[in-house]
Amino acid sequence: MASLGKNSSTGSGKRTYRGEPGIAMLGATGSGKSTFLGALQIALLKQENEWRIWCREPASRKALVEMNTALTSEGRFPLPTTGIDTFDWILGGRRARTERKGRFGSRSFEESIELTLKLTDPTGELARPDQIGLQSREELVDHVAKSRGILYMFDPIREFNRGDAYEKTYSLLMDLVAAVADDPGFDGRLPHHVAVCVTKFDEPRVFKTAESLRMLVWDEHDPLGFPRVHSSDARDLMHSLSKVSRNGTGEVVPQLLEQYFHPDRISYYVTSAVGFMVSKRTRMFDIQDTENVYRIESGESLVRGPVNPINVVEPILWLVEQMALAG
Amino acid sequence: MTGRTISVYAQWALHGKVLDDEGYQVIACSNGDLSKANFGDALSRFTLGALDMLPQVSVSYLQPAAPSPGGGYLALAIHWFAADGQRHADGVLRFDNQGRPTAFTSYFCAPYVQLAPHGVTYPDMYRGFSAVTLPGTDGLPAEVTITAAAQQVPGIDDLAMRVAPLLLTGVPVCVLGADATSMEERLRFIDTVMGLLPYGFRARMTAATWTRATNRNHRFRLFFSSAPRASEKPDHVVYWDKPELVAPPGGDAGHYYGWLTDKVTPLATLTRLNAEISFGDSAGTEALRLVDEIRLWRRPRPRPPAPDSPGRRGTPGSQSKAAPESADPVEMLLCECDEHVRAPNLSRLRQDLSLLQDRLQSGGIDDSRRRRYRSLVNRFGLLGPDQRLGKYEGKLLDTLIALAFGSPVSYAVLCQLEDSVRGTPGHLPRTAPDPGLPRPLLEALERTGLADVRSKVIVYSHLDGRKLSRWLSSKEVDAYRLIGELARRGWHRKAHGRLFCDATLKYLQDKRGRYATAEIRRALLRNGYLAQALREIGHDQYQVHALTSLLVAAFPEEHYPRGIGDAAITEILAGTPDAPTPALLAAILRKIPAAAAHQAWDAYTYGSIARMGLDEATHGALRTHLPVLAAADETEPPEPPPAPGPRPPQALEPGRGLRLETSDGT
Repeated sequence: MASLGKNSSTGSGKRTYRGEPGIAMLGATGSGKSTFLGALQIALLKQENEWRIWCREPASRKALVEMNTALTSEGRFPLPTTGIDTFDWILGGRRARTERKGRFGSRSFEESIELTLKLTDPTGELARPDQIGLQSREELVDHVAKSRGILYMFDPIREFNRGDAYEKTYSLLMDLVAAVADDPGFDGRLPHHVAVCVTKFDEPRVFKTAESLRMLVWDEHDPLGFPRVHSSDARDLMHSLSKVSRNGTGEVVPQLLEQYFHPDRISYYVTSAVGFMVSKRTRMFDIQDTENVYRIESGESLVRGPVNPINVVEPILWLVEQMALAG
Repeated sequence: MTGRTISVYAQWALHGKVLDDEGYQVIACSNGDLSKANFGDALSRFTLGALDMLPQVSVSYLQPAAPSPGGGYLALAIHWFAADGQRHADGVLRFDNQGRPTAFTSYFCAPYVQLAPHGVTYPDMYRGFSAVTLPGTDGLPAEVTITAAAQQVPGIDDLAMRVAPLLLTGVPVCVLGADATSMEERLRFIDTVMGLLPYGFRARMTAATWTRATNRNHRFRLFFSSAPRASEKPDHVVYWDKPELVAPPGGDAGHYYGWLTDKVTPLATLTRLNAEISFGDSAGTEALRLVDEIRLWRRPRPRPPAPDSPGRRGTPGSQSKAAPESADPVEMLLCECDEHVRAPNLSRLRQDLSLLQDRLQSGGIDDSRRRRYRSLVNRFGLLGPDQRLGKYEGKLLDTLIALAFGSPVSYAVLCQLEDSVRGTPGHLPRTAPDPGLPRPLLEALERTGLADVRSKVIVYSHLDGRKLSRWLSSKEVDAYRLIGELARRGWHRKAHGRLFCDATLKYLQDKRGRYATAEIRRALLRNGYLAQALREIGHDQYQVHALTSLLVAAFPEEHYPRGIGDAAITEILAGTPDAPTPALLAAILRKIPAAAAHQAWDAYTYGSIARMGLDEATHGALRTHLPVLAAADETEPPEPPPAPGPRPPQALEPGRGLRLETSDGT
């Protein structure tokens, strides 16, 4: 989704990155791609840093406002995507930078940067092998092939129920490799940076698995007392969750990704777009009641409490940083 | 008129979700010619994007793998949320297994050949198909009864009139600002647009009553949305209720718009004639009178008023013009042309021009007719620029010039044309700066052909500097002809002479070394170095500049390193048929050393008085007071005396009244 291409700097230290390609989201139906995007704005706000997101393009602007409002104010999840949604969002903020000065010296300063994030949010059905050859599947492959970063959403609950992550990821990777194989510089692996997001951290089964593996860490400064799984443990958690995959193939998904992408370009995150439920009584995290989603009588899913996204900003900023470093 | 009912076998598919985590898919379909994969492919091609406002309708088409005429299908998809009381399909659930609302699609397609002959519209199809409740399992094609709505005089939606030609450009059209309208209203709009195009276009039409703006890659040709999509190839974006913002397209699509305006608007205007009228004996006359007022029917028109009342295109005064009753058909056609230019109605204008061309080719246009045509053209202001006419602007001008002015175009005709475009000469002083003719007219003049040097210089100068340079390099031009033409004077506008002089100076400068300077000197001498001619076309500064350039051409520095000699000074200032001007003296003084200035002064004085139209007695009295001119140290043999050129009747011959003396007293 984020696009970091040409950059220009001004004398005022403001730096603007624009251009194609962007960051594509991949994941099965219901893995939380659209919800993740809908939570991005509130996630930036809750981080209390200077990053902010806005849009120039009217359609993307409208979608940003609608998705954010629905999730945070109405507690409603975005409608399932049909087709391929594309958003041109702009991520603006400041970051520290060090620059050499003279022969031995250096100076540190903050610079403003503005990143044009081209986000591609396809419907999950397009990852199905039966879609191969259809026009919309080819469009998806084209989008992803042109992107420089991928947000790969791994839904452990779906994997437990259906166990199709390997099958879908494999067929898509085959299409992708075929699409970029003739590109100059292709070395047998896909050139993208990949942020793998193990989603639905608030779901009790996922949370309990992380707890049982002693992967939970607490930040004493977190006002809500939310635990997290460190990035260095995220891959192992994904591996463990995949072991209970319905058809047993899920546990090789990380290896599959590492086989077709450069392993050093993959980073793992354990995420929840809506975050943990916050106890109404204590206003704090309650380890006995983590899930922040509930179903009403009609069958519709809604958000239970306030939205406190976990690891939503981090994978995007990591991708942005990686792509910036890669030029 | 009542609508007709037809029965079609529609193939169908139900698209949506079931509780199996697989996401959207074809849940069930008919087991006819089209397979589940066919339906899946068709549905994936025409996706609206995730919408929270359903139902919506999309129309598309299906072609069999081996297309054959009439073998295709028209498709209509109804996109809907399962809700209590819905009757589009059986056994569907409102939310998927993750608790998210599911958007279902009832997709129907019927053979084009069954629908087209009855002129079935999209609302007709929607009424028929929306009454079908699809099963949750595969089944037979559905027999659907479609009632074709009664044919009506096209209800003219101004936006639809403008959108239909836009579709012909091949660029999709996005309609914004229709949030407050209903789905049915938007579907009717789509159908109205298609009703303004040949029915056959429906066989390849795709449209949607709403699309998600971030779903950028959809393939609808006409669609509604809340924002323009940021696609690589921009769409035509139009706004609901703001048809006036839609510019008609160019090219043939624009001509189609002209055709539509001509054919459809008058009929639609009938609804505006709503004053009560009775069906009495004069009902026919009254009806004709009313439609005549709105130009539904064209009566022969009375002869146009005298051509001395100038009218301009688009001015209220020119609305009341009328064509001659007794019928020179060309005059009638010119009136029609004006009307179709004003509208503009390009398809009718094309017909007018074709007829006028026929008249031209048949010949027989004498001067008196030409004058009348010219008068009409002037009155209507038909020669002015009008970008709305597109490629017909040039054709119109070509025709009008040939018809009303003749070809090839001489300088005199060019001046008439210029007056025609600017109004009468009185409107623009003869000395006013020349704004130039409109480019389309200049191009038309060039195509028509230019008869003389003057018209060529003026047209080429205005058109393109390179064109002028090319022409000046051609064999058609030489320095003597240009100088002779300048000397002839008689410019209709001062600016014309100035343009011509500039072109002459450019020639002399660019072609230096390619003409005989002796010949140039002779030509200039014969014409008084053009000093008097230049007075008519330029101010003092310009005259001095031009004369200096002429002297440089006549006395190039490489041949006259010491400047112009005394003999030449005398010859220029005192030996030409015309009296010298102060500008000529100034130009000479710029080209000679200070020591030779007295010679120039003497020659100027001598020439000025000698060329005055005085009688013999007066001259005689002055003779002894005039300076004695000397022909001093010329390095070049003196030029033979110039042949006497045309002179004013009372001009005094040099040497007859006053004697030109050389330094040795001869």
